[in-house]
Amino acid sequence: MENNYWFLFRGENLGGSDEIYDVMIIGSGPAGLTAAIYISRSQLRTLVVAGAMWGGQLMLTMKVENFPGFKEGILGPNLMDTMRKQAERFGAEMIFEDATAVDFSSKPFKVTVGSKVYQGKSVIIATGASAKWLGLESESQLRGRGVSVCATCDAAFFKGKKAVVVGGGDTAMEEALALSKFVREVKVIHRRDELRASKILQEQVFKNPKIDIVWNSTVQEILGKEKVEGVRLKKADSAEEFELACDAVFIAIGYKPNTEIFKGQVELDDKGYVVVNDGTETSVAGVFAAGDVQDYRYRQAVTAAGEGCKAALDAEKYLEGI
Amino acid sequence: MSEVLDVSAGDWEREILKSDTLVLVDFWHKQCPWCKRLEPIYNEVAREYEGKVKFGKLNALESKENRDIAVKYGIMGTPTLVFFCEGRPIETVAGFQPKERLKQLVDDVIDKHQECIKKSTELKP
Repeated sequence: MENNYWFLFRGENLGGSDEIYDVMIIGSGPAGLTAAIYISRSQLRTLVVAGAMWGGQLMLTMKVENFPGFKEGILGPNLMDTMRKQAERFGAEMIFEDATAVDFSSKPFKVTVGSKVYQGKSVIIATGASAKWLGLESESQLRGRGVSVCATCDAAFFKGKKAVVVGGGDTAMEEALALSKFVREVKVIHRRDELRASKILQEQVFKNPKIDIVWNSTVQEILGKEKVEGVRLKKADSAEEFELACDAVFIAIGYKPNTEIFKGQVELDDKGYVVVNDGTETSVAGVFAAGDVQDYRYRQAVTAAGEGCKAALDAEKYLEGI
Repeated sequence: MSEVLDVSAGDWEREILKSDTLVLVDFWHKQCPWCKRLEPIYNEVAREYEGKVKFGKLNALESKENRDIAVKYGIMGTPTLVFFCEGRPIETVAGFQPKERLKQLVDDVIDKHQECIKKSTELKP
């Protein structure tokens, strides 16, 4: 952890503003760190704005079994720690605070971190995606009181109770299956009449006697004062509302890209993902994007790492041309 | 050198409830990725508040007795942080906290409950 302080201290001392980096990478998941490894290994001045919660989604994954090179699998945090050290070995500088604003309207590009402004000739956006919440007031009030986004964290506290999972994708099915080991029954609330989840997961869910699916329904309200006592649902094709008693609500309705600070700076699609050409170039020359922030299709650690590499090579090529 | 104290049901009363200073307890368990994520931050913050606030952790699923303690304080997820003052839970925060937010939380509780930390600051060597 000493490294943290060293880099923070250094960032403070340099004040950011005079230095012009070759590449500024925003984000530190597999995409950001792979880009950092490539860029810093090419002896380019590299800044990684890693964020207060560096490491991305793999930091929340216990075991990664499909990242090539680890026969027995590897713990997500360990994998990310190794990637970070690999990038630091080649001289990438890291800041463990969040980027709060960017300015791509003039060169050098600017990235603001709190009160400091950093400048660079090019930027790689690799801020990834985060789990979505329903956005209900009752949801935030009952968080930690039965509302959760992490079945592996919290399922054991609901032994023998009733749980609800909201969502219809892979994550929702995984949460339902994890919960079924502890709770008495799981109801999956899904707003459509078919699941988005992969066939293999669907089959496991359909076979599981503890799991039922409530089709064509959306959650209007999570009920309960001190703790979750139920949900109020609405049928998709009518105004009919009904209540379902439960002790826990697990939200698994997908992910949203972390692109809040890029609005108006690069082109985003209607879901908020960064738009890239067939490589990693964004709508601004010299600004590239890699990983889940622009990819809603594959969303894998390996594909993110691959795109981080592509973005690094694209950025190097861009730097040669200016 | 203060470490985060790993408590269990056996020493819960002595270390937490009968503590003469403000205590913060992290309810966690081994299979919880957010707990793993919080751990290094929690350890760092514990060092920064050494002598002022006592930092402890309880593995909520390690034994039936530990679990009973978690249930007693209404824990329904991990990590959950609970502040104790003179044996009473005074503040509960569910979920992962980034470092700055965690420090803010500790500062707020210290501000609000000066009576809980007085004894310990005097004891500081």
